[in-house]
Amino acid sequence: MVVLERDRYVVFQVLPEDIDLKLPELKQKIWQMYKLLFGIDKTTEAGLYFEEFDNPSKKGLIRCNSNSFSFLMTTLSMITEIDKKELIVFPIFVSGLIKKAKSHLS
Amino acid sequence: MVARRGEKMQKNKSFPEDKFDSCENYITLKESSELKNYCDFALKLSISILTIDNLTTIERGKIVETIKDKDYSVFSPKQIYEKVKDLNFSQKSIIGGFKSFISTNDENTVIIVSRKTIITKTIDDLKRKLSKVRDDFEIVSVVGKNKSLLKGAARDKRVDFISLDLLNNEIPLDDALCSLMKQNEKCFEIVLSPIMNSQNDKELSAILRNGKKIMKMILANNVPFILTVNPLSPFQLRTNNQLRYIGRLIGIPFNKSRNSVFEHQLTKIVNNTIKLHEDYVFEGVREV
Repeated sequence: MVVLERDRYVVFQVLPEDIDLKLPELKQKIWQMYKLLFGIDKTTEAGLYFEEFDNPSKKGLIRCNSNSFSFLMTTLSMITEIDKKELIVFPIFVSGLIKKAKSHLS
Repeated sequence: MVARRGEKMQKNKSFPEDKFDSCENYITLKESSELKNYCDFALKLSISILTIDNLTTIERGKIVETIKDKDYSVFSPKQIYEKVKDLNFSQKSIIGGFKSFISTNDENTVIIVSRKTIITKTIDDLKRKLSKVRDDFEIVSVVGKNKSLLKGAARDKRVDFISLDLLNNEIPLDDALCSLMKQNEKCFEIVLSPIMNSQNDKELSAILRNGKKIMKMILANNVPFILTVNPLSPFQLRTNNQLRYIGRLIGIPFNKSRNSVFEHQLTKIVNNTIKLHEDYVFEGVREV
């Protein structure tokens, strides 16, 4: 039996919009939180990849494995601060097609 | 879901979140001016109901009047009840009226509900406090550490929720309490803020362990429960789906927490609004 692994593209937004935030900080926080909650084993299976991050609108796009989609959502929900700066990372759209996800990003 | 050849596969339309079906059930304000920040963030996250702790219905009325002129409108459940009560007669249809009010109004609406959390150690003290506060608040929740107190609270009609503390290692839950809760149509309130605010890995693992024990008992007895954050700041507000995803960490299956983020809360708010209204005579009867 062939088990297909599909990708999911999650468009997220960071609030507040005027926060001074760089992509490497956000990446590190998401990886760190994922590893804390689900361990290194699940983190390697997740296939996380940061496709895009638009700094002015504070919207970004993450690719993950469809099996680890719920873990990523939990991870994003658990983030409350980065470098003592309070923020909310919340998903605004999820798709299996990158083109469609990118249309929500702009 | 499998699509037949030539047919288009049905899309899952539940995501992104349905507009205005999120509720934050336990906000503690340090200053009354903080409420504006909470309302701003609630609108951005499409959270339609904010329940404020230690805010009486009279104080809430004043706040609703002051925020009226700003960019968004703030309502109390009483105001909505007065709009929908003439069209709807049964409790179920009034809840439907509330839902349609929330969905049809534009994105600038927040409903503010008053709430009191009673922290006590004895049943006598609980009854004394309940008799004092019940008429002034729409939601009354009880926090306690011993089983006999919680059983007393579960029997009392004036109590709406029993809050469970994930930081407490001694879980005051047993099958008898769960059965009482179910009989009296009350909900357990799971406060998720300790998970989000844990200081280190050891503390987090202890909290998750306690949460899993509690949820195992609740799910085994099929008792209704609600999820709330009790945010320390507006940045800790979470949408309905986010709450359900955090709930997965303590062993709540995603599909079993569907009613725990909005439905149970709204039902309690509507029932209590009807009871606290001047028209109310007794259950199912009101003065016309």
